[in-house]
Amino acid sequence: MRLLTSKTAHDESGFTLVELMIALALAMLVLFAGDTWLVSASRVVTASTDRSINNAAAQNAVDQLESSVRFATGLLVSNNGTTLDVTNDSTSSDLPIPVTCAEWSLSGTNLVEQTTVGSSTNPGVIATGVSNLSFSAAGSPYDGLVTVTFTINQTNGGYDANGATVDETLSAENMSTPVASEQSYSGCSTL
Amino acid sequence: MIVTRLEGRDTVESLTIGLGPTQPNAMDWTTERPRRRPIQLRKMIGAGRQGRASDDQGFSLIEVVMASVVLMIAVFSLTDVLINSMVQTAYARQKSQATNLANQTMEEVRALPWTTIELGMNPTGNSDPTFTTSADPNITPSGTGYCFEGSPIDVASVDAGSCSLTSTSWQDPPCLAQAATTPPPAAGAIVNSAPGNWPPISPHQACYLVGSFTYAVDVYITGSTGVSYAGGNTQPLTATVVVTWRHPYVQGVPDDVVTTTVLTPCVKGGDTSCGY
Repeated sequence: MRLLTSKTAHDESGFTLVELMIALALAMLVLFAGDTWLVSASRVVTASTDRSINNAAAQNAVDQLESSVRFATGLLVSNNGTTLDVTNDSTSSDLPIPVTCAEWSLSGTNLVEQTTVGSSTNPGVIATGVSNLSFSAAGSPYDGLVTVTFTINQTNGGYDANGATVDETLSAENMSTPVASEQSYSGCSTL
Repeated sequence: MIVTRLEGRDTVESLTIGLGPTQPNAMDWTTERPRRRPIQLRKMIGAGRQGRASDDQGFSLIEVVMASVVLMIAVFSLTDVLINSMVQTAYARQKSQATNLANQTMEEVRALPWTTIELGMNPTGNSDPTFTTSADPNITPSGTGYCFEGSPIDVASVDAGSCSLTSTSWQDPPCLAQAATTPPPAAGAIVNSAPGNWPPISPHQACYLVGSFTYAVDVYITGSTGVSYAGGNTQPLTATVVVTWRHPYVQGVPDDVVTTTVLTPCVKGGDTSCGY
């Protein structure tokens, strides 16, 4: 008991002012370092989330374009490469898409597919935050081979400032005439 | 006295001395503040300095060396994890690029007319310089024809049924070692309508530079053993695209991406009996 009380008395002798200041300075350094690390880690997580959002949006847009192009019987890329007309004039019941024409273009920052079914048209926004949209088509003898390129960024102000860039090549499996031969074809405007 | 029973430790002894003489019964010294004499205070200070000097002796050389070794092991372990992570990330990026190339090439094959696809890989007038066993070690001669992994690839010839499946491992295309490679062409740049010269079937092998890595793209159109493809072919054919690259820092994982699809004249509109 006496030993305990005597040791306690010694242990409670405390720190000197210099020791306290050094300890505080070290603690502040550690805290600032931890804070920097925390902010960096947070930015990485946010950037990763932004990238996932952009990739998912890009994949969704490409999937919808692919389902449109895959069953096309006619494709027309505009001269400046900013518009793609996808037509389907097949009468086969094997083709499930009733859309007779779909024009893909950029309206502001929206990727738009304006579909025509019969005599009615229906503009639909496929994706937002899209820029640098361009289409290119291969020449003869390739049947319906087009490449679409665009950048999508749906997280403005996020850390993944560049967005996701898509460069996808798609082919129309039902086309038996090359895209180049379709240049005399007016696409959606003929409907 | 208490002092002697505390084994002569300076710090405790001095504290106890400070309390002792003024308290006949020193058990509860914390409740009553004792009067300290100047000489006892000096003893306390001296004793404190001695104790402090003892604590400031620091670490021995062996302790420092051992601590350094432990620290180095920990740091090296983390470095290994970091490097592994970077290598795996680079590998994932390369594999993603290879997959994209494979998909793009397969789309190019799909976009070719059936009248081209049905000729297979070795039609009359084929000027494919890569269609030799030296340029492509994965092509094996069989009789008067050629095979790829047990399937006939010159389906236009009559001798298309003599392939046998042998257990051969994939051989890296020789063009991987070439220094000069070009980026893969965009769809708008794929225009080569010279007879018998339709990439990616002819030439069926090309090496592209993407980023700082070279990727070899090989395309094979194969039929089935025992099926006659001569003249007016309406039988399904298989398209196989193999993209190969080299990643020396990742061991035990494949460095090629393979994608396969079946092509039929119905899909390509080459058979009027299909309804369209």
